[in-house]
Amino acid sequence: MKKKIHPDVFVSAVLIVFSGWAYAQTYSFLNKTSAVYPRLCLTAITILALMILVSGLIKTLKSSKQEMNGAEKALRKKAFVMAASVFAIFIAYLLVFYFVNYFVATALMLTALMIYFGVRSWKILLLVPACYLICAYYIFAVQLHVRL
Amino acid sequence: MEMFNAIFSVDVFIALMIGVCGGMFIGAMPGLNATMGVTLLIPLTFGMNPVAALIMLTSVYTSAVYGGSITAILIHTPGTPSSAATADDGFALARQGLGTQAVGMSTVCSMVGGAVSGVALLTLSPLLAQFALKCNALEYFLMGVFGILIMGGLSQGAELKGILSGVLGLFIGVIGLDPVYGVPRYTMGNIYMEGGIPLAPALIGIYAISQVLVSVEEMASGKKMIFDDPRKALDGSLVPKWSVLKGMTGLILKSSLIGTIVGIIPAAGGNVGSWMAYRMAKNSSKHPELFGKGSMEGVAASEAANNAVTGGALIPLLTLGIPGSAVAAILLGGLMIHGLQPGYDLFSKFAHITYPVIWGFILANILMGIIGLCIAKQIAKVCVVPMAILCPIIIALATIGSFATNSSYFDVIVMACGGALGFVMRKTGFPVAPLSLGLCLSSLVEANWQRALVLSRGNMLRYFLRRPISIGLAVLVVATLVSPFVAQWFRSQKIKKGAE
Repeated sequence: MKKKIHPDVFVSAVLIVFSGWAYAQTYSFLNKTSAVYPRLCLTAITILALMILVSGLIKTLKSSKQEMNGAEKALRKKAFVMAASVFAIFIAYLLVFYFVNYFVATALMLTALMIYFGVRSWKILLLVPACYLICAYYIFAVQLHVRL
Repeated sequence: MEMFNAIFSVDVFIALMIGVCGGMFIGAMPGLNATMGVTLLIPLTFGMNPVAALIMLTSVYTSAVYGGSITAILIHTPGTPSSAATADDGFALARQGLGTQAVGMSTVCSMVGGAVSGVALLTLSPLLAQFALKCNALEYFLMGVFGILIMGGLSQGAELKGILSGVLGLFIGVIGLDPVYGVPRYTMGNIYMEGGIPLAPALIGIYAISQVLVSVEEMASGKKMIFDDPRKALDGSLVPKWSVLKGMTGLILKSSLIGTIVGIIPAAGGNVGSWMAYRMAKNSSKHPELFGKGSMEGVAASEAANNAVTGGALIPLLTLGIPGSAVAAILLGGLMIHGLQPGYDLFSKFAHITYPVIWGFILANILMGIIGLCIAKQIAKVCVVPMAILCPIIIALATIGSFATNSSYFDVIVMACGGALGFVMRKTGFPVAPLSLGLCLSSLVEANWQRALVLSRGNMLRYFLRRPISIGLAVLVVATLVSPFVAQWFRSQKIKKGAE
């Protein structure tokens, strides 16, 4: 039976590498005293990450869990792909916001995400962005004078 | 007189009503909670006067906790974690046709619990603020560290991860200019980074965006949050009978006190308070067999306690800068954004802001009860909003909320990075509340550490040993660091005994 390495091992390894890099950066600070506090934090992070790494390795050795069956794997993959797709749409939304403006970007994002999530009623696809944008315009642009 | 003028001015009263009503709807929606509601509303408060802003945020906090009970009772889905203790008995009562009575009882008990904790906030805070006068830089440094360790250490089964999350928050707060020497740290030559990580956008990303991504994963497994219309369970009057309330007066008051005390303990939270009160009610009930199967006493105890936690959590927040709950940690950010620092100054120099806010909080709880009895049936409508519509709206709100802070696109980037970090942390079992607290407290902790170094004149040990409060706090810090290992040892002993 193939044992699955506990995720804590990977996470703590990443944290230890990051702490090492960040600690090395403290030598480039213009003032030595400014480096004390970040070094204290990084030392604490490294120690805690090492403890989690050891704990993760112990959990890996003690684990009697077999690898997930096909259905569980497929569901987990579907969930991850969906979350990643939504995040990608979110990043695209931020880019359109940057190059165009908030209202166009939001109208496109709201419609795109609702369609992606399976909403097919044209009334909802039109009304939700319209109502939201009207409220957002009134509250932020008119009342709070935010330039969108 | 000035205080009442401050509370009953138009802008403050509008903020109070928005906070009370908005909080109820936010709390009722599964997928949203008090933490997200307060986080998303903070940017809206920038243009408001501090009294109106803080009253709105504290009103949202207490009303959202109550709002969660409505969905807990009607559809067995607590809108907030604090209402989990209400869900079993409340839903069982709803199935017996007593949903209206259960929601009515929850409304009245939440109002009483919140008001009792508000009175405690009013009376205990000035006393604790006097204690805060005796504290110096070293004590404030240790209190900050203690607060973060407590919040991290109370993440059951993940204490080490919780503490690491808090320290990571402290480290992320280092990015920018050194508060004493003005030296750039980890800015990568970027001028925007020299201002540090903006608090509100980071918190919005960590909580709101990560929650959206978690909800999207739940949608992938078929959870679409479309329910049968729960309003059908709310026929009749919501106002509980006086004879029933009279018999439960002692229970409601005891539960309110439990909730207030639990709220004062940093990081204990609403769910701890509500479960403790629930157990107390069960132990002292004439009909303990009904608990879990439809006990009105269970609903009353848990709801009085979880709202009492809200006021209790504000006591250490306002006096010592140690938040009593995750939402209080966000409120700390709200305080700082409006230029207010926790401590004695809040009750002396800024008393004209603090006392109206406390009275506003008490008033919010009373209004919450009255308005809740009138509109609970309407609040129940929000249960049918599908996540497919809610998630995109949250993303849009989070983006505009982050941008509105400084009209800066950098803040939006910080929000996006916070969202990614928050999601990864949640997937890998790291709690995000300690991270947000570390972020809020980082500049205070470091500045006080630097000041303590200067005041110690090169001999920190002698300076430390001459300050009994520091020694006491250091003992608490060490105890908190050791507690995860002690807890782990007790758990392993329990498992061994169970196996035997």
